[in-house]
Amino acid sequence: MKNLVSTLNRRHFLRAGAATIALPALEAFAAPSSPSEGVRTFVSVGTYLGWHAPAFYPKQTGAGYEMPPLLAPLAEHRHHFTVFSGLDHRAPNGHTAWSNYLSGNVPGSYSVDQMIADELGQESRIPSLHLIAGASEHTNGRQMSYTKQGVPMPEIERPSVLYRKMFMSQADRARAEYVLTSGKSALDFVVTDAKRLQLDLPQSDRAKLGEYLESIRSVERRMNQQLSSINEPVPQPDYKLPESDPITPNLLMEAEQVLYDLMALAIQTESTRVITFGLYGLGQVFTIDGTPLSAGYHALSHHGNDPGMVRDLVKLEGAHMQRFSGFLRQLRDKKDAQDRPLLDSTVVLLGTGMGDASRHSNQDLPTLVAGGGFQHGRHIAIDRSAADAPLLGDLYITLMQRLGMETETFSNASRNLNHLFS
Amino acid sequence: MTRHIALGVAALFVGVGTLHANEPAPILDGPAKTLQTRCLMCHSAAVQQAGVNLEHSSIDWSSAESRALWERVTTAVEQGRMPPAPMEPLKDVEREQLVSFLSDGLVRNTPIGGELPRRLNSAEYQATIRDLFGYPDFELPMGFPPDMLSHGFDNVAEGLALSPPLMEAYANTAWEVADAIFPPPKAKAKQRSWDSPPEDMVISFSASTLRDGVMRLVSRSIDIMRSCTWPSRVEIMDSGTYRITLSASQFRPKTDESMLLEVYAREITASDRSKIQAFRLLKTLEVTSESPETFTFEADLYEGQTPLIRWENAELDHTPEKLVELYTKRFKENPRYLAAYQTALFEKDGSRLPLARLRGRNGHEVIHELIKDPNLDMSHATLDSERTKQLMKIIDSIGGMQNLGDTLAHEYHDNGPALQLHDLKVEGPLKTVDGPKDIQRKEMRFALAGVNPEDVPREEYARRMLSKSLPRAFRRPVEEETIDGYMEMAREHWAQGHTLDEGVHLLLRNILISPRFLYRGLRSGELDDYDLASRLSYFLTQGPPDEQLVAAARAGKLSDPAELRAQSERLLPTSPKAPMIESFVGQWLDTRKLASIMPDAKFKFSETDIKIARQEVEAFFTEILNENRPMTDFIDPDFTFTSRNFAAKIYEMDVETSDKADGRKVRRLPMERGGRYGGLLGQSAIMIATANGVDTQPVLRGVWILDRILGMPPPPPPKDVPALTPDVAGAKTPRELLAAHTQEASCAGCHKLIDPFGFVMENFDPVGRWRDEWPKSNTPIEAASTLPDGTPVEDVTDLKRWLLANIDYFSNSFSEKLMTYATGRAPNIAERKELESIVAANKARGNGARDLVLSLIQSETFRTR
Repeated sequence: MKNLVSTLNRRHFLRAGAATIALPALEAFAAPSSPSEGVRTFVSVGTYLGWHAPAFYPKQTGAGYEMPPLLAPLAEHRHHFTVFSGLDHRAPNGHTAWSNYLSGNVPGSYSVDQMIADELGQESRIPSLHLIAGASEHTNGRQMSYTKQGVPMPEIERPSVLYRKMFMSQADRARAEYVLTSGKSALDFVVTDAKRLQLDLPQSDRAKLGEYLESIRSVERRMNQQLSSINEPVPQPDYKLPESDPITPNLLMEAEQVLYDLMALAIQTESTRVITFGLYGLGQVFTIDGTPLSAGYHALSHHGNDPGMVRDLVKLEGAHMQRFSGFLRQLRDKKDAQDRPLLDSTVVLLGTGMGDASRHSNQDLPTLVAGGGFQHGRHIAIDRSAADAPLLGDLYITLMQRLGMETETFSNASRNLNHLFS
Repeated sequence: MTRHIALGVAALFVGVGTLHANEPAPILDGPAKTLQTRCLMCHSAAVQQAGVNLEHSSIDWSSAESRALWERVTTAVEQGRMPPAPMEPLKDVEREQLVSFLSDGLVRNTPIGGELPRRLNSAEYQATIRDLFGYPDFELPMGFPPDMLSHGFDNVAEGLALSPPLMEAYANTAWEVADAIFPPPKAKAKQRSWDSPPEDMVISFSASTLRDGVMRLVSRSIDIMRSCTWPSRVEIMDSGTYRITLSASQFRPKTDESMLLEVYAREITASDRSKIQAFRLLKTLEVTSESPETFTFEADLYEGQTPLIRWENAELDHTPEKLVELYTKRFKENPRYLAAYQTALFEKDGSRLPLARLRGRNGHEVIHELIKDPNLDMSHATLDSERTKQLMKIIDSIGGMQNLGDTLAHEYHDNGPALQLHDLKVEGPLKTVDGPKDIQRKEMRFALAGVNPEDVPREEYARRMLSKSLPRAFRRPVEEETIDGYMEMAREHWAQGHTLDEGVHLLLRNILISPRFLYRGLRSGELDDYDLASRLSYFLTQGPPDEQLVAAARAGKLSDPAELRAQSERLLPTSPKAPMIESFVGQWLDTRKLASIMPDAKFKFSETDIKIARQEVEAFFTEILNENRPMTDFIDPDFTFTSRNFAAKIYEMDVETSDKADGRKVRRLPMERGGRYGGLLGQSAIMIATANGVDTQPVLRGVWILDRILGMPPPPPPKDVPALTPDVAGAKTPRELLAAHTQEASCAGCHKLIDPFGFVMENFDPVGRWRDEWPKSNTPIEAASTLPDGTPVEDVTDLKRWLLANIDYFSNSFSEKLMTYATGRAPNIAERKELESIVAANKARGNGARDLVLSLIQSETFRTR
C-alpha cells in the first residue's frame, strides 16, 4: 500500500480524497526528491523588556561553560544552541527604539524576518506569521517586524485566530470563496469606469490612473491565486485549543505555551517559513510556584540592581525560558517529511531589542541561536569595545546565508560571523 | 491655458510680453553671451555635463520640459552655485541679466495649475470613511501601507502612488467596512457559565494581592491598573443580559461604613492604562460584614467585555496629595517608619538613592527590614527635619505616586482595611440584547439610505442608498446612469440567490475601490464648485466637505470670493488638536519626527516630555492663526506655550502656578521679545527634530533653516562626498571639522549658504537647552557667523533680528509650504510669483498670519487644479 501511494503525485492524491487527513499520515507521502533539503525555516522570539544579562551570559566563554540561571532550563539542549554576548546594532536607546531587535541600526526599518520572508516566504501558504503575547496595550511603533517600506506587520494575539489562519475550516473557506468570487466579478466595473475617466484627462494624468488600473489587475491576479489555493487540502491537526483565548496580560505564560505549540505545528505542517513571536509586559504580576512576584513585570525590569527585584525578575524570565525549552523540545522530537528533526531545518533566534531595561539601554543585547544545523554548544563573547567588534547584524547575515540567501549586508553590518559560528 | 496666464500672472506684474505659444523665442544678446562664454564649456551639446545641454539659440517656452531645464538653470545661477569653483563666479551684471531674462520668460509662459489626480492619503481616507458611514471609531488596520513624502508632505499628488499592496489593502478595508455594516449572519448565542475564583483574576501592579485564596483590593485610583481586578478568562461572546454572582467581605475595616464595591463592564482588549471613567458602571454593592456576603444581580454585558471590579471608597488613592496625607499620618505615628524611608531613599550625606527598587512589595519588605534594624539612623526622623521635607517632596510627585503608592498599598494588603473578593460567577445570556456595535450598525444602515433596510423592498433600499450616498462618496453629483450601473450589479447578485445584505455589501465594496472615491482632481482646468469644496475641506479639515460646504457648491456660490472667504473662516482650525494643525505643522516643521527620535538618556527626556515639546509648537502655531498675529511673531513673539516643568527643565524659566499638580499642562506664558528662547527658532521640538537625539549637526540645522524658514532648499550633496563626522562631541570642534570639508571647491558653493545658519544655532543642544560649550571637548561654542548677505551675527538673537528685517523670506516660504500642502503640488515659478505678490500685499495690510492664509485661499494658484 505504501509503495503504491508513494508513486502517486502527493497533491493529486490529497485532492482526490482526504481533505482532513491526520498529520502523521501526511509524512508518508513525502516526495523522495523534495527540493527543500536544507535549512528553510526562521523563528525569532523576543522579549520587550529584555533579558537580565548577568543571569543570561555564562561566566566562561567557549564550550563547557557553567549554565547561568536563565539558561538552566535549556540544559537539555546545550548542544543545540549557542549563546552570544556583546552584540548589538549600535541603535538608539529607550523603549521606543525596541524594534532595533530585528530592524538593526534604524528601529522600524526592514527587519531580518521580512527579508527572509520576501525571499523564502512565497514557498509556503503563509509568507510569514507574527505573534504576540502579554500585550496590555497597542504596541504601535514597537512591533517586531517591518516590511521593506517600514510598515509594521500586524500581529496575532489570539490562539484561536492563529489556528483559523493556519487550518481554515470548511465554513471559513466557503465565506472566503464567496467574497473572492463576487469581488473579482465586480472589478470589471471599476476598470471600465477608470478607463472612461482616463479619456477626459491630459496625458500626464493618464499615467496616474494607469497606476490604478495596474494595481487592480494585480489584485485580480492575487484573487485568482487565492481562489485556486482555497480548495487545496489543509492539514487538520489534532490539537485542542483552550476554551477562551488567554489574552489577559497576566496569562502571558499560558498564551506563550499555546502559541509555542501552534508554532511547532505551523512548522511541522509547513504552513509558513517565517515566524516572529514577541513577549510583552507591563504591570501584570505573575504568580510563580504559587506566590505572586513582588512587583509587576515592568516594575521588576526597573530593578535598580536590588537583589529582591532581580531575583523575581530572573524567576519570571526563567519561566519564559522553560516554555522556550519546551518549544525546542517539540522541534527536536517532531520530524519533517525526510524524518529529520524540525530543529535541524529551523533557525531559532531568541533575543531582545533592549539590553538593560533598568537603564533603558539598547546596548549589548542578550542573544541565543538554536537549531539550523550549526555547530552549537558554545558561548561566543564579543568584546564590543574593540574597534572592529562584530555587530548583531553580522550574525543575522550568517543566519540568512544559512537559510540559502546570498545576502552580504544587513543594516549597518556588512560582514558575517561565519568564521566564529557555522 | 492662455487665460490663466493673463489672469494669474500678467495682470499682476509689469512687463507684459507677447506670448509665443508655439514658436521658440530667441535668447537676448546679453544672456546669450554669458551662456556662450561661461556655461558652454561644460554644458554644450557635445559635453552635457550632468545631462544639461544649454547650447540653444532660442527657448521653446511652451514645452514643460524646456521650462524645467531653464528653471533649474535660473536657481543654480541665482544661488551662485554655477559656475562652480574653482571657476570664477559670474559678474553681478551677468548674473542679474541672465536671471531676469530667464525668470521673466518662465513666469510669463508657465501656466498656473497642474495637479495630478490626487489619491486620498491614509489620514484623509480614514476621515472620509468615518464621515461617509457615520463610523467615528473606524481605524485603518495595522499594517496599512504608509504614504510617501513628496516636496515635504504626505498629501502631494506626485508622491501618492498606488501600488498593488495598497490596492489590496483598499480592497480588504472595503471588505471590513462592508462587514461592519452588513456582517455575515452570526451563529445563535450559546449559554455559558464562567466561574472565576480569585486565582483566575488579574493582579496588576500593587492593585490587589492574593491571600489564602482570597483577593484583596486596596486602592481607588482612577488608573485601573493601580486599583482594579478583573477575571482573566471571561470574555462575553454574545451581547446580552447576564447574571453576575459575587462574594465579598471586609478585611479589618476601620469604621462602620459599608465598603462600596463597584462592578464595571470592561472591554477585554482595553489598555491597562485606561482610566475608570472609560468604563460603564453596572452596579455598586455595599459590603458590610467581615464574613463573606453573596450578591447576585443581572446586568448587560456586550460582546468582548468582562466585569471589572473596584473599591470605590478605599482610603488609599494614587494621587500625590493623598499619599502625602497618608504618609504624614504614618510618619507621625511611627518615627521608625519615617527613618526607614529616609534610609532607603538617601545616602548618609543626603544624596538621593534610586526610587525604583522601593516599588511594590519589594520596597515594602525593604522598609520593614529597616524598621527592625536596631542601628536604624533616627537622627532625621522628625516631621520638620530637612530630610523629611525632601522625602515629602518625592512623595508629592508623579514618580512618587507611581512607585511609593504601590509600596504603601502593601501596608493595606497586610493589615487592611481591604475589600476581599471570594468568588465571581457570570452566567448567560439570559436574553440577548443589542450591544453598542449592533446599535451603531443599525444607525449606519439607516444613514446610508435614509431608510431602514427592513422597511422597504431591497430594490428600493439599494436605489435610495445609491442616490444618497454615492454623491457623498464621489464628492460630486452622480448621473442617473451611474446609479443604474450599480443597481444592475446588485440585481445580478440577487438573481444568483444572494440576500439583500450581500447585494449591498457588494455595492459598498465596489464604491470604496472606485477611482472616483479614491482620487480627487479627476477633472482638468479650473476647479468647479464641487472640486473647490473638496480642496478647501481636505486642506483645512483633512476630511471631506461637510453639508454646508456642499450646499454652497450646489448653489454655485463657492467660487464667489466672499463666500469662499466665509467658508474658509468657518473651517480654519482654531484648536491645536485639529487634524490639519498636527499634519501641516508636523510636516512643515518636522515635529512629526519626534515620534522616532528619543533623546539620549543623558537628557532625561520622558515620552511625556516629547509630547509636550510637540504640543508647544502646535499650540503656538494655532494661537498665531487665531489671533491673526503678524508673521514676525513666528520668529520673535512675546509669548510661548510650555508647561511649568518643561519650562524649568529646558528654557530656564521659573513659572509660578497655583496648581502644583499641574506641572505637565501646556499653557500660554508671556515672554520677553528679543531673547534666546521662543519662536520657531527657540522651541525644543524644533531643536530635537533638527538633531538626532544624541548630538547636534550644524549642517542639518542649517539646511533646515534654509528650506523651512527661508524657502531656499539647497540641492542634495553630491554622492561622492564622505559624510561629515557628525560627532560634535569629539576632540576637534565642529568648526574645525567643517572647515576642512568646506574648503573643497565642490562643497563650498552650498556650505557658504548652509553653515552660517547651522552654527548660529549651535548654542542649542539636541533638546533645545542653551549651552555655551561643546560637550566633551569643553571648548566654547563658536556661534558667530556671517550670513550670506554679509550680515554678521553673534548668536540666535541676532539671527532673529535679521529675520525680522527680512520677514518676506519667511512669509514667502510659509506660503509656498502651505500651498504645497493645500494643492498637492509644489508651486511652479509663476505660482510662486503670485504668492509673493499676495505676501507683499498682506504685509502692507499689517502682515497678519490669518489674513495671509485667507488671501492665499483666494489665489489663482489655490483655485486651479
